[in-house]
Order: sequence, then C-alpha cells, then structure tokens
Amino acid sequence: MIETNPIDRLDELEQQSIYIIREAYRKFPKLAMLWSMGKDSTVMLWLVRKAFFGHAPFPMVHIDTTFKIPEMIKFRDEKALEWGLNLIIAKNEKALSEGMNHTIGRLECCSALKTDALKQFLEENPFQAILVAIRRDEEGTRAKERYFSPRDKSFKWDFVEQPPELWDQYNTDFPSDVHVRVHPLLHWSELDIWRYIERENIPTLDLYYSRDGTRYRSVGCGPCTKNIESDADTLEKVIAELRTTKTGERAGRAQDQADTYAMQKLRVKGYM
Amino acid sequence: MDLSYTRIVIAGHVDHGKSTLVGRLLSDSGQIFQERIEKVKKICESNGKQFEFAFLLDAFEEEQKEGITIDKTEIPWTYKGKEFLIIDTPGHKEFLKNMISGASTAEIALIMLDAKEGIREQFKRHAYIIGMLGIKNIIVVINKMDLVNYSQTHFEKLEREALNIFNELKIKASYIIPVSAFAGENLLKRSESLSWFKGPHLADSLLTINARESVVNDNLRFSLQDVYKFDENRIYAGKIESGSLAVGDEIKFLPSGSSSRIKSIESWNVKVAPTEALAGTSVGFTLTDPLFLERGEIGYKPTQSKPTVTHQMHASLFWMSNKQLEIGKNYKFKMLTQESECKIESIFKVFNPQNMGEGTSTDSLKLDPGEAAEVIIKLQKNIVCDAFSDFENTGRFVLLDDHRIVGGGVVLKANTINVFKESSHLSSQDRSMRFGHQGAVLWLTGLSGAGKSTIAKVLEKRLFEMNAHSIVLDGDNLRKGICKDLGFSPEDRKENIRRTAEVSKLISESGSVAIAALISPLKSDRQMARKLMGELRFIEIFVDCSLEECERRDTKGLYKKARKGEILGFTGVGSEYESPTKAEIIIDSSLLDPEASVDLIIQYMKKNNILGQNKI
Repeated sequence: MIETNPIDRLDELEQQSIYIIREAYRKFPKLAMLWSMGKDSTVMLWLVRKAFFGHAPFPMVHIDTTFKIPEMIKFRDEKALEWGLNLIIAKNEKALSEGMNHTIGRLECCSALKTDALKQFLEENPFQAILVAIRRDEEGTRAKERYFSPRDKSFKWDFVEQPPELWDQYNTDFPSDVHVRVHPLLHWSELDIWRYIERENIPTLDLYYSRDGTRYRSVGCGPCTKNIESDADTLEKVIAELRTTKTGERAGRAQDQADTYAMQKLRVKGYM
Repeated sequence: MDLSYTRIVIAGHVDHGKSTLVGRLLSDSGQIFQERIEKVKKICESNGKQFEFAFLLDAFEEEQKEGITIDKTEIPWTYKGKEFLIIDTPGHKEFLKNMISGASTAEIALIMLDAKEGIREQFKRHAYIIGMLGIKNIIVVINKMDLVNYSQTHFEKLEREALNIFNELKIKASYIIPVSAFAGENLLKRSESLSWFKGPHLADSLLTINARESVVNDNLRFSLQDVYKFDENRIYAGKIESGSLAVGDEIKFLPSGSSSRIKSIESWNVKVAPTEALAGTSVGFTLTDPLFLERGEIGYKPTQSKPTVTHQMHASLFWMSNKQLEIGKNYKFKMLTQESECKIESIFKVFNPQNMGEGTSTDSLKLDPGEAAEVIIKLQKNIVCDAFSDFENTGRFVLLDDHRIVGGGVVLKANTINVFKESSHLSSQDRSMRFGHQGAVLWLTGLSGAGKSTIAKVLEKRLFEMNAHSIVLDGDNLRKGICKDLGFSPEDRKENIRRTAEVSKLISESGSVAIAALISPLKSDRQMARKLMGELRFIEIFVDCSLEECERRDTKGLYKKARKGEILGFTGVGSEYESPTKAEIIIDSSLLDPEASVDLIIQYMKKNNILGQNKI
C-alpha cells in the first residue's frame, strides 16, 4: 500500500513534542518547566496542557531578572491564575542586592540573573530535569543540541562529547547527580511557532504585535531587547513578515552580539 | 495538506566538503540570515582565515578554529516551495556517534565524495550505516570537480567505484551527481563546466525524490508510555508507531496478553472529540475494561499481524562507545518504552571498510568503537518487537552502558520465544549415566512395504528388554496426530519429515532412543533431518528391498491402488525413491528377517557406544 504521511507538519511537530514531554514527566519524578512568557515557552506550556488533557502536572518556573518588560509580568500573573498553574518565581537575590545590571556587562548580567538564578533555584529545589523551550533555528549552538541534554552539577554543557540520540529512543536514564535539560521544541522553527499559535489560538503577549511601527520579535529583559521596525499588527501579518525576512530572530537580543562566541560562552555555563 | 519537511543527512569522509555544500546551498538560495554571514566573515578575519561556507554551520569556536565539524547541525531549507531539513554531520571517525544521531531520522542521504581524493574509509562506513538505518534515497555527490578539471572520464571512474561499493553493501544510489560546492557548480543550476552531465543538478534531483511516498505498514503498533488518572478515567497514553486506531476497535497488548476495546480517544481544547488516531500520534485513550497495564506494553489489533515476543534476537549493531563491546557484559536494552537488561551473546560479520571486496570477517569476539556488526542479543525480559524490514519503529533499539547510549541497532530477525534453546541443568552425560545408554535417533528409510515398521517394533521391544528407553515414531501414526493437517504434496512431505525430525530430536535430547520409520524418499529431506540434530546422534538405516519385492508383499494394498491411479505420486510408482549412499546401516530385508535385522542394529549401537557394551 502506498500512502503519504497521514498527519501534517504542525501535527507532527506537536505530537513529537508531546511524546518528549510525556517521556520527561514519566522518567523524572522531580520535573519543572521554565516559563518566560515568551512565545516559545508559552507554546510549550500549551503542549504540556495538551499532553495531560488540560492539566499542568508540574511547576512552571519563571527566572525573574526583575528587568522584564512589565507587560510580561502582567501576562504571567493573569495566565497563572486562569490556567491554574503552580508558578514558582526564582531570582538571584544576592546579585540583585549587589546591584547587578546590564551596564556592568551584558554577559555577566545574563550569567548572574539567569544562569546563576536558575542554579541557585535548583540547589534549593532538587528538580532533576527542566523543560526548556529552545529551538535549533534560534542560533548555531542550539542547532547542535539534543532533546535530552545532560549537564553536570555545575551546569556545564559538554558540547564536544554530547551523547548520541537516535530515533525516538531518547536516553532518559541518568545518574542522580546529573541535571537534565529537556528541549521538547528543538525541532520547531520560528515560523512553526507562529503558525501553531494561529492554529491553536494561543494567547500571547501584545509586545509581539506592531504599535507605532515597531514590534518585538523576541522578548527578554527591557534593557537588552530591541524592538524591530514592523507594521505587523496582527498574527497573519507577523507570519507573512517571517516568511520573507532576511534578519535573524535574535538580532534584537543584545547579549548575543556582545562577543563572537557569546552564545556558546553563555550556554556552556548553563544558559538556556 | 501542509506536509512536513523532508530530512536530508549529509555524510561522507572528512574534508570531502559536507559543511561547504550546505553553507553554499543556504547562501546561494538566499536562505541564510545576512547577519550570520557578516558574523562569520568577521570571525574569519579575526582568526586570519579565508571565509568558508562551512563556518556558517560549524558554530562552535572549536569547530571554526580547527576547521572541522564536531557535532551535527540541523537547518531548514526551502527549494521551489518544498521544505527540507538539512542535517550536516561530522566525517571524523571519532565523531561517528554524532553522524549516526544526525542520520537516524533522515529520509534522504547525500554522501559526499572528493573527486580528487577518491573513495576513503568513511565513505564506505557511512554508506554501510545509511544502508543499515534503512534510508532508501541515497545520492552520491562527487564534489570538488573543479580540482579535476571537471573531467567526465574521472567522474565516470569514480561513479563505477562508488557503484561497486554500493553493490557490495546491497544498497542503491538514486543519483550520482558531479558538483563543485566551493565554486557553486551544479548545485542550484546547471553547470557549463559540467555540460557533459545530462542528469539533474543537485537541488532538482531532491525534488524528484518523494521520500514520504514510501510503503506504510498499516498494521497497528502502539507503544504504551504511561497511564494517567487525573480524574476517574484511566487514560492510556502512548504513540501510534504504525497503523491507526478508532473508537470501538479491539486492541490486544503484549507481553501481558490482555485485551479490550477503545472506549474513547481523549483530547483537550478541541471542538469535536476525535474518533480515530493515525500513525505518528501521541494519543491517549480509555478502554472498555480498566486494564492494569504497565509502561512498555505494545498494542496491536488481533485482526492484523502480531508482533513477536522474544528474549533473544539477531540484529545489526553499530557501536558508539569509547570502549570495546564486551561479550557477556550486562547492557541496558531500550526499544521505544520497553527496557531490559541484556547481554551480547555473539558477534559476527564485523563490517570492515578496509577489506571490503574480500567479504566480511566472521565470528569475531570483539567490536571496537565506531564499528558495526551482526550480533545475537540475549534479553533478560521478554521484548515485543518486529523485524526492522517489516516495522521500522518496533524494529530498532539502543543499548546503554553506564547511563549512556553506546549502541544502536535494527532487528534482523525477531525470534519467537521457543526458537532459542534454554540450556538445561542436565547434560547428556548426566542422562546417559542415569539411563545406561545415550539418546539417539534411529532413522529408518525405505520403500513402502520394505519392513521399516516391523523392524522398528521389534527393535523397540528388544531395547525395552535391555532396559533402554525408546519409542517408535511411525510415519502412518504421526500422520494421524501431529501431522494430520498435512497432505502428500512435496511441501507437505517435507514438512512431515521436519516435524518428525523435531520430535525425534526432543526424544533423543531427553536421553531416549527415537526410532523413526518413514519412507522419506528424498536425500535432501533426510539431510535436513540429520542437520537438525546438531550434536545429537543420528543414525540413518536404509531398509533396502527391491520395488518388485515390496510390490509383491503389498501388505497395505497401496501399490495396487497406486497402479490403478487411485493414489497419485506414490513412492516407487508415481514418484522416485532416492536410495541413501551414506547410510550408517544398510539392511537387505529380502535376505534378513526382522530379528536378524535388529541384531545388526544393536551391534552397531554397542560398537558406537550408544548402548553400553555390557547390555545383553
């Protein structure tokens, strides 16, 4: 019998992600998810609810740098209530009290307020695995990631010696002192994310839509996230714009441009 | 319908131009973000290097400084409206695990070949692995044609060499295409320098391959991931690996053997609840009976093909550990949601790219990192699986050692539970000590009426009197029982003999003497029976009697019927009897009576230590 693949592109992406999320939930009794309120992790949260038929059976962790754009915090608190989430907010209080900010150095600031904040949180709350909504097409080092990516105690990513990952036979078997980053959206593209948001009618931040000729393509901390010139004020227009753009998604993220190998340097130490 | 992208893996030897090809395809088709090109140009300047397209993919600092690819990269690419996912992989043997990780999900493989350097080790190894992974669409890209002056004769020579290797590996090339990735020739448009090449250029060749239009197995395989109880409902969650299921379908689970019907297919945030789920779906359903099932069960439909339950299998395995594979060591076997401890029992047919053409070595005891071989795997628990050639998803597995994936494999033959021998606590010596004789199979062959059954019965009685355990397996009697579904066609006769031989084997293994009496007219069938016995004693006894004499005796009146045409294909009348040439014992039954014949057999048995010498 000759048949074409019976399910379409977005279905395939979605079903694959759900499989990975369910594997993580089953295999890691102490599991949490990072939710930044950005489009990717909000799609991932949607997939979690889909995987568990409306339930979000593990905590959503927001690493709060305190420099996030205010709309994001409002969106977080509204949806956490509406969707019945177990929301945990983690901050690097020590670095903040010592006055850490991007003017000290963008990479230093990211490391302290994101990576170290996460590290501190995991030291106090022993989640063995966390779901992170990174995608391969975001930038070069993420393109080389695994779905189940082990890190040592100090979060170090041994990118030269990454474990093999074959078919759907994911390795979920790790020693207890290994911390695991699970990346269920690794195979999605930026355009896939938006087309899925459209198909599923997923609530997203207004920041992504054009106001007075600019919009955010990627959101993060206020001081390090630049908006782009765009007239895309609806979902349809955002999708149309992405189909023709020649500019990378993270061009507006200042930390990526801080150094030639900025992302590798951040990610080796445990950045998302 | 918006189909998913087609995955293309780029393989081949180190420096044969994999990353350059990908960088060039992306940049010539205007699909790489400008800032990425600018960034790489800046890096090249600061590292004092010429700009290379490969750097667009080799994102790690180590990769760019060393000019090598360490890990795979996956990048989307669109050509004439068709979406692809290009997977660039490393060519160094040390990074083979990354190459395999990249290739495992691909539908098309491009294997790069440097025109100047010719065929090197990793070309062969990658071709072998791609064949083993079951990737059906393979394109050989003969690169760096600029370095051989775009020579047609040079291309044709390499083409022949590549095809020879493919033939040996039993894989096929969809295309063999000359290009220069560095100069951008014959990638996205036809090349003037290669005007002699009449085939499509690389990008167009990809359009002609419909990787998705492959044979889809519509027999259900469902792998159970988890069971959820968020409310009163028990939801069985897992993936449909092949086939489909619908509300009302009967579904049976292995290895538990329990079955029920699909009551509902669960969903969230949809307008209409689904009633059917297709292959590739991570589904959740409820059953009409609340079965207690554990993760790892495989579901199938009783009306369709059934997977195999086994604790031993014959598989192809590639080894990705940094240590040698150890026979008898415990590894963890993982197939979908099933897991078991396992041991590699034997290694054979180790693939060695250096001595291709001389056949693969056999019965090796070792498997080095980066090597592939066929193996026998013994599992501690029963695993539900299929041969990879029938079902891809339930026919492939990984092996883990110390929490790491160290091997990947495909099932060549999933054996049924009983095929492999469970070793007994008793040896044949233990049994012969107890019984005072050895187990053996005495196989009496000869024409109908030659006296086989008569001799067999006398022999049985004599052995009984000597306190030796024996039983007669008479052809006619077997046909009333274990072989009653069989007729007299050549196939059925062969099967009749096979079954008799198997039963004889069991009897002889138990330490008794099996006396099989059946015409068994064909040499090949008797040879089969002998081979089946392996180490056990098999004594062929030719009860020789002329056809005339047998027909004269005609104790059962069968010759008469055969002559009248009432029995077709009767041995000696309608079909031939092939006399044995190497029988252990020949008895001329027209000269010897049954008692004397039995004397002869007993003598032989004593002489060959089947019966103790002191037996009377």
